[in-house]
Amino acid sequence: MILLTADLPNCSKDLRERGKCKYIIVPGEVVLRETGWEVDFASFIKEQTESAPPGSVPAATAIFLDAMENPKLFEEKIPDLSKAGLTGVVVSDPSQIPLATSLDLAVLYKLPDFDHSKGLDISSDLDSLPSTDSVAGVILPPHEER
Amino acid sequence: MRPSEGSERSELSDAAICDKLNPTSRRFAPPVLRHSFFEGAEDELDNIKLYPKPPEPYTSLPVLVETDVPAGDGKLQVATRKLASLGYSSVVMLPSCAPPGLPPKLTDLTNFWIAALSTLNSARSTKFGGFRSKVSLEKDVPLEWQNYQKDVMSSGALGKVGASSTDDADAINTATGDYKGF
Repeated sequence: MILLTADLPNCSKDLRERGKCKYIIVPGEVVLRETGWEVDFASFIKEQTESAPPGSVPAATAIFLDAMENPKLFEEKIPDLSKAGLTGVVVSDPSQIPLATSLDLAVLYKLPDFDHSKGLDISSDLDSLPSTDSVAGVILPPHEER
Repeated sequence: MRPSEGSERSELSDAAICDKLNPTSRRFAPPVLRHSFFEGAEDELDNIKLYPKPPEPYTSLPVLVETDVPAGDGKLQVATRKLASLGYSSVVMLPSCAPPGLPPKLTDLTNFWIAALSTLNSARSTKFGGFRSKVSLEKDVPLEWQNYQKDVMSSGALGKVGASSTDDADAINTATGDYKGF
């Protein structure tokens, strides 16, 4: 289960235990704020992983950070968050993939445009990437109206 | 998670991704209604053809897809079931999936998504509506239970049987986060 949300500290336990949420993706901009829980995002990540011991059910929640709209995150925040236990990032810029790889982060690669008539054939979009070793998944846009 | 570490598509197969419940203006952005793709999809679910897997070397790579179908009256459930039937590993639910009237209270949003995820995760079980038990029992429990229900309903304890559904609709308070179906 992957959940993208912003204000999670107070509801994350519910999401994990009641909603059996396995993945959380947090918008990047919230990490850049000056006030609020976001400034303590590293602690939040640790809580998510440490409060659910390995093998427990529900397991720890894997946390991704949406870095698509804030490239500076890779310089300012993500290195420290990686050390705190961040699972990965969501990116749409291929140049960010090596950055994530260097930080040992998994990548969810989002394709802003995709011809759904190709079905699941994502090869042409991935072949152009410098590396797909750290790509954990590909996110396609919604189906357009037919 | 990584293909090089032996991950399989099934690792994310139960994923439903709720996108960006952002405290900024994007949180309750007006839905972009593209859901005509899913109109009538419920009747077609059994006829949907699975997309072929991605070609090598991406065969085991999870392919997720976003949806902006607004929750309500089962539309989101139908949409996610159709996407699952097409072969996508996961569904990313965009902010427009949340009811527009849902108040920006974290607890209400949490409860909405927990309920949504629980419902959408159990979608497969709805395919077993025709399942019948072959277990032999000393008592015909189902029949006794049916008779009991009939007695209760006819007693009026549960209100008027067959009352208009609009009565139920009036009981939904969207201002406090109530919603009807997913």
